[in-house]
Amino acid sequence: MKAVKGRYYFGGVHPRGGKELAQDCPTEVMPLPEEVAVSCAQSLGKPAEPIVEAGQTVKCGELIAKSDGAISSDVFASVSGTVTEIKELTAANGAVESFIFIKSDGKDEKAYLPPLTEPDAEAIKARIRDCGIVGLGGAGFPTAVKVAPKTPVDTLIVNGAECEPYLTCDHRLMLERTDEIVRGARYVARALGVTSIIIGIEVNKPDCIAKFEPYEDIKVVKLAKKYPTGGEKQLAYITTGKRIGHGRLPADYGITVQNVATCFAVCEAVEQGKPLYERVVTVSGKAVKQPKNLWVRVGTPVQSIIDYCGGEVTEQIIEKDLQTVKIDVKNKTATSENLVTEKSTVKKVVQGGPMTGVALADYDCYTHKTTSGILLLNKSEAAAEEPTPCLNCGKCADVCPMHLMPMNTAFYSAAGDFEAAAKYGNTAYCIECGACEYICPAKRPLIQAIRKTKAYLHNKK
Amino acid sequence: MDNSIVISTPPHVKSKRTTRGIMLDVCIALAPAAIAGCVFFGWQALLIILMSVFACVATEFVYFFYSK
Repeated sequence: MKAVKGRYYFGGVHPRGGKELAQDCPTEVMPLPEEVAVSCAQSLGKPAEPIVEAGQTVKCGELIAKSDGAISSDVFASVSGTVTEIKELTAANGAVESFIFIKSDGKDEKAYLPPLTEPDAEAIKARIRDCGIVGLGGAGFPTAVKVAPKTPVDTLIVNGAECEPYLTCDHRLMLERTDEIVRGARYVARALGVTSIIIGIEVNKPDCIAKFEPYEDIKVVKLAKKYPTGGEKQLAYITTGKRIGHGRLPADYGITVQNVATCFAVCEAVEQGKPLYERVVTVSGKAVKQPKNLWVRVGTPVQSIIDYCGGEVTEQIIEKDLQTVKIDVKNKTATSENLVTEKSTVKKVVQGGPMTGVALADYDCYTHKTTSGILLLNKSEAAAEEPTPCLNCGKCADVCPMHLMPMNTAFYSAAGDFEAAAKYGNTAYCIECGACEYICPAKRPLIQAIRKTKAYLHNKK
Repeated sequence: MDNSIVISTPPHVKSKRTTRGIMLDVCIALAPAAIAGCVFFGWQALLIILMSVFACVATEFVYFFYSK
């Protein structure tokens, strides 16, 4: 249907774009990696249990780790080959997870589930569970749990906002695979039993808005370009006007939100039986030579992705005190010039989006199902300043999309009084979007204080 | 330190507005009033402004070293 404007939402920030670096790069398929390391903890909740052993041959799409409990997801092999080892490593965010290393045999033999034709709601829910589909917006909540809510829902909102700077993976997916996304959204709607499908797309993607308008059963809502418009509760208010209260779920108000990439994965799972083992990843930032949007298999080493995009951007540093001497023996001449070294301009490496992603220490990491981007930020883009004292300006409370008080959380947690921090800052309802720390003029580590307070609340229970 | 990769909690991009920038804007906003005061009330107004600035900076200086 014709696009309508969304409601205005108080709060949020306008981070610098960065999307222009990779916006016009069509998605490319990255060549098969030689070895992948698939983590067993690919979603929120409990990690999966490995069911393969070292030395076993697996096909691409085969189940290698079974989910453990309700809030957990199955893990699948992303290449065909031999399992070399199962090792416990520290992932980028500090958690210790089991990684299943698979050495590719280059053949890429696939082992999918049988395709479904005209499935009913229960068949779709079972297929979503069997294909290990998780929320691909970044949180990784198991979709099988989301499509079976405890309270009845009547609206499905498809999240095409992609509000974080630098990321363009959802943008390219919406442009190139519009019909699959719509079919996937229809399958999810059938599983939920809803008839109303809304898609929210930010106005900085007018080409995507035009692509979704022809579908008569999908309402298109134009979202203002603001961060974090793509947050569940914010998106629900902007598109439907329902305010989701603190501590409540969207399902309590009859709403379910799904990312466009998740809908695409559902379509492929239902129509082709393809489990979730690859996704679009945006490689961007001013310190990478060729920004791209790539189809990446889960577990691909980050180093190989950076190499495929041309590597880091280096700058030439002219050393004033060191010189190289070239001696020409035949002509008996010698020239000397200042030594020029190539130094990398990378200041920060981020896995995910720049507002919520994890900073990596080196490239010795592997992608997950939820990795939406790998960003190499140089000195002018990355935030690496020392914090200064709080000047009580109140900007953090001004921009908070959940209408909380981060300055109170930071103040009391710095003194060690986490009880007061949680009470006065209302920290329990924070969505950790990063808007407060983005806008802080004193560059205070607000998200760090919030996470510490949340850890205290979690341990208290 | 300046040329190695930095690790921190997100967000990894931040606004360019700093405390220094905000305070500079405050000084710029107060400058016309200060100049008008000196024009209308003479050199004594300028003396008061300078004495106030000196007293504030000196107190902060003493307190800074006292609390180290």
